[in-house]
Amino acid sequence: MTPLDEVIKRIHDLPSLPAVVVELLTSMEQEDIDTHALAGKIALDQSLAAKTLRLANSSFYGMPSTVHSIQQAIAVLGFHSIRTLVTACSVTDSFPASAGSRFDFQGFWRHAVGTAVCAKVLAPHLRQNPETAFIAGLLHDLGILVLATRFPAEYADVASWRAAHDSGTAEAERAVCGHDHAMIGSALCAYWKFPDNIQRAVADHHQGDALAPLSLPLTVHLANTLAHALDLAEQPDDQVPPLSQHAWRAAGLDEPTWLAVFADCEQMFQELCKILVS
Amino acid sequence: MSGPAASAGATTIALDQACAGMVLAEALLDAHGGLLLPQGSTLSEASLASLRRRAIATCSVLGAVADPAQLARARAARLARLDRLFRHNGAAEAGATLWRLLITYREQQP
Repeated sequence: MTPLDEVIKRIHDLPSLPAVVVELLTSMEQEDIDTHALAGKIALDQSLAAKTLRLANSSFYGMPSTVHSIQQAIAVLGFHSIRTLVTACSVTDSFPASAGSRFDFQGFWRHAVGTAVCAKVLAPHLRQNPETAFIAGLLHDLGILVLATRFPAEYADVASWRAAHDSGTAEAERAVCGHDHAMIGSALCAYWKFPDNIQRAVADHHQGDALAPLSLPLTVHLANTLAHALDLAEQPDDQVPPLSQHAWRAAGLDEPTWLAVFADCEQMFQELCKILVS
Repeated sequence: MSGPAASAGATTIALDQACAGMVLAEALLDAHGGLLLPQGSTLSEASLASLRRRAIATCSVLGAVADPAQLARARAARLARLDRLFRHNGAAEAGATLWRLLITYREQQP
């Protein structure tokens, strides 16, 4: 078992997110944003800019013509969408799959992107900003990446424990490591200075009963459950985690709306996965 | 209506076999010859429901229609997968409701 102090120390060894991404995340809670200046900063990070443009030009956004600059992408897609794309690209790049690791990075990102998409689709029904919901969904299991990449041997034991007990991930982590990915993920979000509501969504996505009815954490709780239930990650041993009755009631959607939500999530997921999980 | 010609791989099927996403190879007319859906229309759940209300029995769609036995096997596999995904958390109230909705959703898929 690794003491929590040791885990936090390893978090602080992680590379910082590019400064522009931290700035973009901070801008989520600001009213007056200098989009022109931010576009200039994004463009300076060439690999980030290139991946963002590839995503912006994908059929997911169905743009009539190709965009060639970040400034142009902002003009066509809006600043909110670009902020989401840049953050998504940057975070996925921060944890490259390491050679020889037994951890299933692709499966991890498929679930992360699946939860992001479900959160974005659910957001308007829960009066949340769809772009913020997307980011929170994408990051909700970040703690798993910290454990799997910083403590690979221990995390292999977590996988074995989970298989032997057919348990959920968090339960196996608590049994083997003494702490779970929600706690570790929220520590990383604090280190990376993510906005408070995203930190809370990462920390509390398994605590559905305790969440405010129309909140980002509750949206992510529902989105995480939905991503498992729609089998988006296609992991053979996947299982739907406990779904809070309180959260389900808070969403208050009728049957036709849920069926439409399922279809929207599946369609959006296929397209995004091609770009983000490659 | 710029749909493909009716002769290009059209198959006449019972309306029960038709599902959302199929494309009409020929226009659908009501008993009086009035146009219900033009050639080239893509069927949706809403248009299928409307055709059922009008007691339309068959329609002609583009492309080969999959073998019904194969479709039934695929459908059974989708439902079995749901059983597996909900093996631990399908009994509680909200989990059971979500499971039931997903069964409805998966049953509607071709």
